[in-house]
Amino acid sequence: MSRRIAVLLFSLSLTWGTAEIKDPRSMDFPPRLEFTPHEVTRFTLSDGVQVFFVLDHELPIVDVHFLVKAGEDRVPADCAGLAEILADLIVDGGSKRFPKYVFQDSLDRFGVSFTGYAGTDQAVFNLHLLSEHIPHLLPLVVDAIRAPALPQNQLKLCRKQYLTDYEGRNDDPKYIASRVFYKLLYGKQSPEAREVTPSCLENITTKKIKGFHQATYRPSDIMIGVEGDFDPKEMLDLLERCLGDWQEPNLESYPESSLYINPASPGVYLVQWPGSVQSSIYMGHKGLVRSDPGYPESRLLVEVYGGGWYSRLLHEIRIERGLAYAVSGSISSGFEEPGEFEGMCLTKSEKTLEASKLMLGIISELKTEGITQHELELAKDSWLASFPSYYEDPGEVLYDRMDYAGHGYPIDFWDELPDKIEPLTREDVNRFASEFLNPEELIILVVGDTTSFDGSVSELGQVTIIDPEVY
Amino acid sequence: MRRWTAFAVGVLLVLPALVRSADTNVDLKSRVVVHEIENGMRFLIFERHDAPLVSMNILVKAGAANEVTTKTGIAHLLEHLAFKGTQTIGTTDYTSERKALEELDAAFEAYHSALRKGADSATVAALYTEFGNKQEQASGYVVQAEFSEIYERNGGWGLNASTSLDYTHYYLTLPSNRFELWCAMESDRLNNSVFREFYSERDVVLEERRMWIDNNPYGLLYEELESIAYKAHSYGHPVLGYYDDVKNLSCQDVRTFYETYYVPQCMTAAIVGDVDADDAIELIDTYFGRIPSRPDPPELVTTEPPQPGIRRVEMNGRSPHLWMNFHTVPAEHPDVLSLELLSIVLTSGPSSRLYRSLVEEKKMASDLGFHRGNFAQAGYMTLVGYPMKGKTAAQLEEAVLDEFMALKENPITQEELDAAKARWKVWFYSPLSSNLSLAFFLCWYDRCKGGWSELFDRIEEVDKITCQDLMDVSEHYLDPEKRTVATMEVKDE
Repeated sequence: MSRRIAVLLFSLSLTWGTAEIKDPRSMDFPPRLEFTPHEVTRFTLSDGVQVFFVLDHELPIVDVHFLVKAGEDRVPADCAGLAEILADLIVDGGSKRFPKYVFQDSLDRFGVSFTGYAGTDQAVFNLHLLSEHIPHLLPLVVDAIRAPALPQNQLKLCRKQYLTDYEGRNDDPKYIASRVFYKLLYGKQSPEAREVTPSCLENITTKKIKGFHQATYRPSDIMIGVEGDFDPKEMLDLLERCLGDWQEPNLESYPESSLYINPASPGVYLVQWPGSVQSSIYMGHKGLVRSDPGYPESRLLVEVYGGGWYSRLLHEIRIERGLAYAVSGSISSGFEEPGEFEGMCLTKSEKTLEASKLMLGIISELKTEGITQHELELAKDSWLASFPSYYEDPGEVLYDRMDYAGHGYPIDFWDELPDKIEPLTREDVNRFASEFLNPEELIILVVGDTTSFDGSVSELGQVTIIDPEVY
Repeated sequence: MRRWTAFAVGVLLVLPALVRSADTNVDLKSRVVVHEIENGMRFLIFERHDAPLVSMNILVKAGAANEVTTKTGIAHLLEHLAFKGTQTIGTTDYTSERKALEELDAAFEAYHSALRKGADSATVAALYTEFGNKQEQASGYVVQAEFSEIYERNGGWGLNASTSLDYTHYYLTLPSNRFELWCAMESDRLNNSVFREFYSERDVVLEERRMWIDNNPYGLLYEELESIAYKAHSYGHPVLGYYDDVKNLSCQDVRTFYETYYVPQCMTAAIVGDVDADDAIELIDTYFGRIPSRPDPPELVTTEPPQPGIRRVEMNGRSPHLWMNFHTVPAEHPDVLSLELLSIVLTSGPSSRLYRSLVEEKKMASDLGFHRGNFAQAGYMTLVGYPMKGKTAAQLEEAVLDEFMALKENPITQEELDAAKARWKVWFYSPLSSNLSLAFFLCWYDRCKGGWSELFDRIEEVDKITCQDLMDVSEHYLDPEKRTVATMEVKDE
């Protein structure tokens, strides 16, 4: 009874407290909110290292990010994992001046989190600590990055850990699907997709790691970002003391390789996984470069394709038919080379073909029919209104600005995007979709137990079987 | 022993000028504005004007622990269905839709009942067709995903919800000029939800279960561990529910749970970001004040009896895996802080005891760590270990137990405790910088611990903990004779 009364009051827009109850469907707000993003200041140390600061004094913590152009794309394929292992050794192995246990114990004693990894195009280190400890602990960390000790026992441990990971690479069919899909899309030897195999681990020696470090960890290829509660002048002085005397090495850095190295031919690929009660379906082709003139259009297209609750993938597969919990689509854009256009869905084995065909249908329809005016308006409203969320976390703003600067893009690339997205029309987006989407080029991967599928995978095209134990 | 002497000397050499972590405290507590409305719903407002955004979290103190056997998964299914709209959002005509939904549920019940009772296939098929027809009829009134779409059109970011054993929460971030939209949407959702599209959403939830558990060997192992760790308490229920339970849930089951547990006196909302507290309170009163008071839900009365001995489940898989669980204390218990520090001393950071011994020196594990569960009525510490290549879960289990024994002979030192406190403080501050995570913590402390202000008081409490406290909790809770173990071993071919 009380619920009915509440509904009545709601629909009649009566007042309950002091303000008027409004219907959320008719609330009207200005589409864009004017605001000033967190200020990121930029400096150059005397040795050329680029430094970025963003201040936030609310909490007594500081984050320091180191971005080094020493990613896996500079490592030869037969030593895949070398850049990653180097990052691990820096984090856990200390420096010549502060050896492993002294280094580890010193950081742990003050609750410091020092983590690092090497991705495709850069190595990233993050130091997270109470601000009062910065003056004493930053020099240790910088020393480990500049002159790592690379202890043999730590390398041995790393090798064993990577071998353990390799053994478990096929434990979970979802993981098999993403692992195999990116290898198909980029090529088995691509730094974006390849794995650290036992034979690569045998090839990674201390000598090779040292050589890679000497050539790639250099002042001109490193950026440092500091965020949080610190005094900028003191921090700049500290960084200058720690890094200002770093000399550029007298040797060439290792060349970057392409992300795409002999990708698989378009077509259908199948991993038969007996006993699997849910299939993993991936499909995709090359994405685009961020500097592509169609980049703003791609942001709206992806919203309609698989970005939000109203997107076609979610709507058709999850909401309308209940075929999946996990279903999504994305268009990623590399800084120098195209990222990937992809769709993924996990559905029960008995609906594998139905879901796959729906996904294919959505891609084809977006290419031929494009998006509707309603979808355009929804995507635009949503994108523009949520734009400030990018600026919530000062650390993320800092990191992104460093990322853009490091790849030769304008540091405010993202800030300019709303002005490019706002005037886009349905025709603009559909022109882009028609040129960009290419169903003929799709690589389709299905991982599951074919004995319970709702049809033959060959209905999707000519099938190539993949054995994940050797792929 | 030698290791720790070396450690102390090393630090002294490297950091002569470094003082122990100071008692840095920041006055966040005084910035929290508390507002409770007449129906008992509590609001915690924290102004932060760095960006034009506001994050909101609503915690409903109703989770999987409130479910009964045979109806597991209701709290989680309800969380999904709470995005399907209300009596005004998500429908073209609620009066007609309501009738169609009643007919649909009746058609399902008839079909389901015939199936259960083993009716002949023709009858079952006819009832299924009728169910399909009713489903189509009801769907004619649905405006699909309108609830989410309104938020997304308005720049809603991170719109989601999650269910745990003790609670369910609903959260998102909005541009700060749309705070009123949240008030309108959520006060409607908490009072007038309509569980339309029930049957397709139930299928979605079953897919979620397949993803995390049925098609995931580690998910399955964890579910087994939980189920044997608790014999009496509903904390042994999987939040996602057992497959057949979920499959058999009816819309009425969910409605009953909603009406029983989604009551304002069991809810706290936290609002963190670019809002003015006074303005916000005015809107809160207007919108949330319309939710009527309801009777208190039934209390959970079951107490888990003491564990009399070792419990164990063993599975075969492709890689070895070890979970070792120990019952501890509820979230409000004073030992929680000591247990947190103990888990840091043992497994956090490369110089922690178990990591250095079992990963670095003995190479028994590739990695390991403690996972802590703090619930309203119970708690646990679970050691999760990944045996190194060539080692088994059984070998790792034995090695871990040896380390626990060694703890008695080699007690925790002041240096270890200080290091753990420093790490604890870094962890304490880190999530508070995010609007959404601060909103989450405020709500959780308010309803599942001793009150929201305890969140901020802990920074002072942690300094009072002594080495003996850690030894005491270790002795008391990490009792090898009362462990619950789940292992996965590689089956010999």
